[in-house]
Amino acid sequence: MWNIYLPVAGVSLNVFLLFGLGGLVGLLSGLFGVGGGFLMTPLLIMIGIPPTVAAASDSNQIVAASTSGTYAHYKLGNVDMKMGAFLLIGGVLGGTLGVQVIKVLRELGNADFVIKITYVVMLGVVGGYMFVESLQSLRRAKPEDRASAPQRPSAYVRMVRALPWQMHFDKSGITLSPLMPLVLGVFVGILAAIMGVGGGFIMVPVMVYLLRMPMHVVVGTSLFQILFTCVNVTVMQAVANHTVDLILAIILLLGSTIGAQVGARLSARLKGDQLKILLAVIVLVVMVKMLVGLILPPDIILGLKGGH
Amino acid sequence: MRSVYAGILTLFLGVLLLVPRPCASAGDDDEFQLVVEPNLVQIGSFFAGEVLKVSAQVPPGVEAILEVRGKERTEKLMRKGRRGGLWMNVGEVEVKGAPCLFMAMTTPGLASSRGPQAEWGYRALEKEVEFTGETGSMSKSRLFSDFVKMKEHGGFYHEGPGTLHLSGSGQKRLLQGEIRVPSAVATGRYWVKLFLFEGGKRIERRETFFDVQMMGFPHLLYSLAFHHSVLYGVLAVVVAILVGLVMGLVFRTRSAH
Repeated sequence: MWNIYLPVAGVSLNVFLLFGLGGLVGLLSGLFGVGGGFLMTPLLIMIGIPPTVAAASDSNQIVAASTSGTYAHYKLGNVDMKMGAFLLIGGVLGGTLGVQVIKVLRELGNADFVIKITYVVMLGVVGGYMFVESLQSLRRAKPEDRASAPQRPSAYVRMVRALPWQMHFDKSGITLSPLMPLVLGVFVGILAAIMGVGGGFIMVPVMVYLLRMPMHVVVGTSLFQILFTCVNVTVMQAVANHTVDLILAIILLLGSTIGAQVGARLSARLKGDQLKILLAVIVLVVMVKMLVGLILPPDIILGLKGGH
Repeated sequence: MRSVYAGILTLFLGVLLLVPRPCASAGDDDEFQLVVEPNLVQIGSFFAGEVLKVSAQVPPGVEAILEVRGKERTEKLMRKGRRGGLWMNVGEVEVKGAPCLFMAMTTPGLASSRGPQAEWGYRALEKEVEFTGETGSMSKSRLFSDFVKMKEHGGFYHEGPGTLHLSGSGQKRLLQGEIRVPSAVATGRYWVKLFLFEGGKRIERRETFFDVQMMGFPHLLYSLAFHHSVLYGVLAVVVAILVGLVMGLVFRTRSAH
């Protein structure tokens, strides 16, 4: 009765189901501080949205979420525009490349398989890492036992320092070559296009561990980069593949924004490491569900070409 | 003079009585017409599929087969296979001669009959459909069976033996049935054909159609998305940014990413 017709996806779904899905992912993002895009796309696929439409429409939804976040962080002075610009250039290049990759894969008929396998790999890596890391955190007696900067520069730090065109980023208080954010931006942009995610769950650890940026600047700068990456991906997907369903994106973002508010309030009541383990479990469950779908024989041997 | 008029009147009445009246052909008479209601399916913002009512007056003692067909089109599908332990697309299969929508129903008397009237539904359709390309070692029957399952899963194909109902008695009986149009139906014209059988022989064929059209906001968005894609992409981004700003101002908190 409360179904809404999605003209680009070509399906009719219950509006409360979509709103609830957006709310659930928003709740998780508010609880755990991740965008939830990496959960949204697989969940959309599970309820019957074609994978390429799910990924493209989710990118559109992330534009909205990251707009409000970037604005808020900018007001607090937590956005390193210079770093964000380099990440952005890389993100735009990567996003454009990723959209073309999807286009080619649709022609070859393997777009949905590549999207699913990318999710399985990324969810497995991220979920596994988070689970192990949070378990180790819970077992450590003191917060000071957590990883601190080594006394001697590691091989990685020496490699970063050896890169050309070193420049200082004032807001982040670090000095490194712009090649680092450029290359990392390309990588995240490609993933954003294929998976329909903003890349936050990859970008945040990359900024913290690889770019060595302070945490208070990481979130805002990451949102800034994600915003523009997803704007690019959304437009490119709409033009190249005609897979952005605006109605779907709007319902999801309305739900996710409200869910994020509830999640943020709930997170204050839970311990950090417990939250991390819970998120890691959720991520791994989604990964296993997708992997099982790839391993078990399908009910129907034939499928639509291009994931549609 | 009166006898002349009487003669003319007699002649006139005689002509009326003698000239044979045309037979009431079941196919020509309006009361035997095949009717689909509604005959226009409009896809609006809250479209979730539609149930169409089919009816026709039929002579007594007949059985019927109703068939609904959409446009035939060549479909390119992917055949899954196992590579490295994972199921993935391994070959492209072209399907020719298959309609985009296919439904077939019969009256209870034909549900399990033999003879010419037994060639209906999927059994008849299988003979029209052709599979070419990378079919591997799969037989046509297996490919057709999976193809039908895929279509049934989406609500595009349906076979309903015994789901047409006959009621009434006397010289005219009422045949009734339902066509369930799925929510993902494509726009266009769909043909509804009724075949009447008596004593195992086909005695009549009637035909009508219904149209599916997208209208209103979905039609506007669809046109924008496919015919003005740059504008649509920019619009999608602008709407998302505006909604994000408004929601951020409403809640005034940092959004997680």
